[in-house]
Amino acid sequence: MAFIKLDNTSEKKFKRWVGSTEILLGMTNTYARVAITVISYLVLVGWGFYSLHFETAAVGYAIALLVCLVLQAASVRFIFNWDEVIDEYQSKRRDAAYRKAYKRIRQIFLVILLLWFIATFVVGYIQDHSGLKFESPLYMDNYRSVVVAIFLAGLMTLQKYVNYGMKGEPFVSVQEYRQLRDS
Amino acid sequence: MGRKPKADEELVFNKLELFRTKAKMSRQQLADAVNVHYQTIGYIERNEYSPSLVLALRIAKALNKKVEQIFSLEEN
Repeated sequence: MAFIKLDNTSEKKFKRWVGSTEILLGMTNTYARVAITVISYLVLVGWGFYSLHFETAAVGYAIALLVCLVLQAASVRFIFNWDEVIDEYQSKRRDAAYRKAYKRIRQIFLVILLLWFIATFVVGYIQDHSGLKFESPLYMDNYRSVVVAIFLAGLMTLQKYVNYGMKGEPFVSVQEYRQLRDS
Repeated sequence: MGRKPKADEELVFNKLELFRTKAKMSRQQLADAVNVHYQTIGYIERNEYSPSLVLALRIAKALNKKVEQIFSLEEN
């Protein structure tokens, strides 16, 4: 939290509180994580596609994506943000998520490059007979470049949350949560 | 290349829940004593997670037992 600078002890206390508070229960269970992930992808792709075609939609797109990313972070109790208060189980699961996310991003970029190469080959050799010309298949102006940049930033940031796994905390009421914790 | 699939990872069995309840400690109390989240204690008790040596030693100390009394490679 850059905008509220707390002293070290209070900051740690606050982060530990977030790590176990019942307030976040509705967002941290498996069903909520699945729902947040589906919504995030719908915003990322759907709103992104809409923004490509309707100028002025990019600001709303960026804000909506940011909200989705905050929801994702809350659904894993900010373990990607707060190193100093996570335990070894959370740390292992987080590191595994980073590894998987790196592999997934690599795959996504390889697929994009491959598709671009195939499109270039088809246009250059089969349709136009003009040889390979690596032109952008999106014919992007400045506005569209911004939208694509927002999309790529969102896609890459989202990967760590998606690859963390959908398994969340048990779907329980506050009473059941307290019982699990205190039994 | 890559990591072992989860199914191939060697499991460590434990009697943590038994000793914890005998010691009349809640998950939260034990978690506070060994400085982890209470759910991590639950994952260990259900054999879904094998703790590090340091954590196993801390748990044993908190429960006043030897590590090998709580954790083992065979289910018994």
